[in-house]
Amino acid sequence: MRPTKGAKITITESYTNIAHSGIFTPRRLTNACLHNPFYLSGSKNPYCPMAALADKTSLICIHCGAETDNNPILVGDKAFCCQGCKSVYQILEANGLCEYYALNDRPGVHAGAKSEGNYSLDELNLMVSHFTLAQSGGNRTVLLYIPAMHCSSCIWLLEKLGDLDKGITESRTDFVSKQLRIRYQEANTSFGNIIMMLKSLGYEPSLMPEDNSKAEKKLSRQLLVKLGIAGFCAGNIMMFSFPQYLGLDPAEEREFGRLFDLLNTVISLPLVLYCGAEYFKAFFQWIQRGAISVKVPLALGIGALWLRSIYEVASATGPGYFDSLAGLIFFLLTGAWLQNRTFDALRFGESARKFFPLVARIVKQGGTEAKKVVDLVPGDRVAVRYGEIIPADGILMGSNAVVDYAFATGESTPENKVAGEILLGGGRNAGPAFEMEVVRAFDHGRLSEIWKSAEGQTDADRAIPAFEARTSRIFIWTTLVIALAALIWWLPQNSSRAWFAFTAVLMVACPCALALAPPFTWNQVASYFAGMGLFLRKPEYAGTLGEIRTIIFDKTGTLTNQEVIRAEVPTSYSTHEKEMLKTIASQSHHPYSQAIVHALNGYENLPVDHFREYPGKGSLAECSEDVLKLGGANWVAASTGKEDGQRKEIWFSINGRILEPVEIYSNYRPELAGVLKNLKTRGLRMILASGDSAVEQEKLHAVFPAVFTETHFHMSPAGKVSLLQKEQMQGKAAMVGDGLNDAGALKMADIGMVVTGDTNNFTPEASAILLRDSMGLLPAMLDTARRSNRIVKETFAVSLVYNAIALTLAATGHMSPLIAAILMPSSSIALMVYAWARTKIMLGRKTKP
Amino acid sequence: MKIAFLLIICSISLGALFLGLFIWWVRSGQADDLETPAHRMLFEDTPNTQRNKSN
Repeated sequence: MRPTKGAKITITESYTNIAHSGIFTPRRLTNACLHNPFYLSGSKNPYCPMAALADKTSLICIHCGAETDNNPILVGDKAFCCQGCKSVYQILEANGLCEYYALNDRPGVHAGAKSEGNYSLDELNLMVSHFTLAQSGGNRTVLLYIPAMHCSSCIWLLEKLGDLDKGITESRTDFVSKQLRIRYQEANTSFGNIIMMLKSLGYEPSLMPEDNSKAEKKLSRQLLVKLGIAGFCAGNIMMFSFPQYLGLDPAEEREFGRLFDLLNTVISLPLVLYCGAEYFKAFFQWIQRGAISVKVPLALGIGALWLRSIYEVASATGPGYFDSLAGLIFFLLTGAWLQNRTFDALRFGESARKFFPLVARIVKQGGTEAKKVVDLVPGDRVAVRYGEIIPADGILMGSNAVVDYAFATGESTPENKVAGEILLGGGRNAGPAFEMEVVRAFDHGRLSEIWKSAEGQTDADRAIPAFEARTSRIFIWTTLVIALAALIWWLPQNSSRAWFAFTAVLMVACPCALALAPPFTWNQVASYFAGMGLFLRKPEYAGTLGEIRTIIFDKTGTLTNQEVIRAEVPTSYSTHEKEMLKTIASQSHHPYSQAIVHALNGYENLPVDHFREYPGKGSLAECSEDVLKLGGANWVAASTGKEDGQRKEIWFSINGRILEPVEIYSNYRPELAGVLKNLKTRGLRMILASGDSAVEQEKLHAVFPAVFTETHFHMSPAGKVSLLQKEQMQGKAAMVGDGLNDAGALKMADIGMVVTGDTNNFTPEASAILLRDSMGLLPAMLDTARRSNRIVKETFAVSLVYNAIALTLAATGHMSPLIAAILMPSSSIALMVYAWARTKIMLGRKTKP
Repeated sequence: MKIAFLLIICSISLGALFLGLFIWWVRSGQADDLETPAHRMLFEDTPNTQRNKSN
C-alpha cells in the first residue's frame, strides 16, 4: 500500500533488534549511520532509522496513528502500537475489510483507550430496551451513540457490520450526531454480542441512555418545515409586492394592486401565525408569568409590523410592509436553523466521557478492596459505612440498616431497613455500617443526577442564573426603550421610517454573547478539567473557579497523605478491647479510623446496634451492652496527653472507662509544597483550617514554608463555616476538604472541592470533586479557568461593540429590518465560533496532563 | 390583463406543490442527516469477497 513506508519499517526492524540486544544505544547507532550512510530511493539525505526511532517520527501505528514507543508489534510490514490495535487489524483482514485503511490514513481508534464500564453479556442484553427504536417479527432496531466515530473509514466500517456479524441486517450511521442505527435478527445475534463486537473494534458505544436523544431530531424537523413554509410565503409575498415598486397605473391596475395587497395579507397569516408562533408564545409567557426572554423584542417587532400592514391594507392607505415582514421571519428562522447546526457541529467532540469518580469497597475474603462504582456488577458485596452513599441497587445482607434518602427523594426522615430488603442506590447510610449485595449495575445517570440536582439550592447555584437573568432583562428593557424612543422620534417626520427604525432596533439587538458565549466556553473547559481529574457539578463553575480569591484548605485527607497514616494500638489492650476498638473504627470513614482498622487487621468485628458520628468530635457506638466512644480528648473526656507534630492521640472509652490512647502518625504530602507555593504566587489567599490541635503548626511550617496567610486550629465544622463567611465578604472563596468535617463549609463555599482518593466519600454538597492525585494540577486549572473568564469577557466586549453600532444605525433609521434580521443570527454565530475557537486554542496550547 | 389571475393561481399552486414536496422530504427523515450520504456515495460497491467465499 505504501511502498516507502514498508521499506522503512523492514530496515528499522533489524535495527530495532540490534537496539533491543542492548549493545548499541540509539546515539551510538546514529553515529554508526553517519559513518555508513544509507540513502532511501529518491532522497539526498542519509536516512537513519535509529535517529528516526529516537525522535519517534517514523514508526507510528498503522491502525490508530499512535507512536509505537520504540517497541512496535509487527505483522508483515505493518507496525502496531499495541496488541489491541493488532487484533482489530487481524479481524478486519480476516473478513476482507482492509479497505478501511485505504480510505483514510490511520483511521483506527486506539484500542487501549479507557473503557467506561465492564458489563457482562447478560447485563448488556438487559439494557436493550433503552436503545430500541422498533421491534417487530424477530427484528429489532437499536440506536447507539458512538463517540469514537470520526472519519469516513468509520462510516464505511460501521455500515459493513453485517459482514462481521451475520445477524445484523442493516447498519446506518449518522456522521454529525455520531449515531449508529442497527437492525438485527434476534434469532441470530444479541444486543450484547453487537456491543462486544463494537467494543473489540474500538467503537465502544456510550451506554448512557441520555446520550441517545430522539426528541431533538423532531424539533429540528419542525424547524425545517417552518423554514420551508416561511420561504414559500416570503417568495410569494415578494412577488406580489414587486409591482408596487414599479408603480401601477392608478386608473387601470388599481384592482390588481388591491388584489395583491389582499393576497399578501392572506399569505402572511400562516407566515406569522405558524412560522412566527414561537416568538408570540414567548411574548405571552412574558405577559402571563413575567418570564422575559430574547424572543420578546422580536415578537414585538413582528407584531408591530404585521398589525401596521394589516391596518394599511384594510384602510386602503398603503400596501403595508409585508415584504419586509416575510423576509424578516424567513431570515430569523434561517438564522435559528444555522445556529442549531453550528451548535451541533461545535458540540461534536466536546462531550467527553464524564465518568463518576467514585469508589466502593468490595468485601473480599479477608478484607475489603476498592473498586470503581462504574465497574460494580451484580453479585458484588459492598460495605457501606456511616455517611457513605449506597452506590447501586442491592439487597441488604446480614444486619439492619438506617438509610437517609434525603438526596434522592427529599424525604428527610431516615428509613429503617431490615436484612433482605432492597436498597436503592443514592441513599446515605445514617446508621451502623452494613453490607449489601449489588443486584443491578451502577446507574450512572441516577447518581450524577443526584449530584447535579440534590443541592440546587446552594448559594453559588442561585447566583449564576440570577446574574444572567438580570443582565438579559436589563438588555431587553434597554432595547425596548430605544425602540420606542426611535418610533416616537421618527413618527411625526416620516411614519414609514419610524416603523422601520422601531422594528430594526428590536431585530438587531442581540444578547447572544450573554446567553451563548459563557456556556460554550465553560462546557469546553469543564470537560477539559474532567480529563485532568476535576469534576464540576455544573460547567459554569469553571468561571467561578477563575474568580476565586481565597482558598481554605482542610488538613486531614487533603494535605496529609492518606496512605501513610499509621495507627499504633497500645499493647495493653486485651483481645476483646481490640475487637471493640476495631468495631467502632470500622464504622467510620475518617482517615484515622481507617488507620486503626488497618492496624487491627485480623481481628473480628462485633455486631453494632447504634452508631453515630459527630463531625469534628468523634463517634459513638452501642454494641450489645457496651457504649463505645472514640475520638479526641474532649470527646472521651480524657485529660489531654502530650501530642506533637508527629504524634496524635485518639482516645477510646468503653462504658466511660478510658483506655490508653491510640497513637496516630501522619505525614504531610511534601510534593504539595510546590503546588501550594504556585497557588500563592497566583495571588491567592491561602488559609488552613484544621480541627486538630495547634501542635501541628510547627511541622506544617516546616513542610509548607511561607505558604499559608492564616492558619486556624481547633476548628469545629461550624467554625469553618463562619471562617468561610468572613472570607466571602472580601471575594469568592473556595474550600478544599475531604467532605468529612467540612460538609457545611463545602456547601457554603463558592467552589466546594472534595478531594477524593480510594474512599466512597461522595459529598452531594460539594460543587466539585477533585481526584487526590490531581491536586498538583490545581495551579494549571486555575490559570485555565482565569483565561476562560477572560475569553467570556472578550466576547461580552465584542458583543457590546456590535450592539452599540447596530443599535445606532437601526435607531437612526439607516438599517432596514431585513438587514437587521440577517445581521442578528450571523452575529451570534460569529460570536459562538469566536468563543469556541478561542477556548480551543487556549486548551490546545496547554500540555496534556 | 385577465390572464394575470390565471398566472397567479398557477404560480401559487406550483409553489404549494413544491412546498408539499419539501414538507414530505423533511417529515420522511431525509433531511435529518445531510453529511453521511456525502461520504457514503464515495465508497465502492465491491461485493464482499469473504461473503462470496463462504456462500
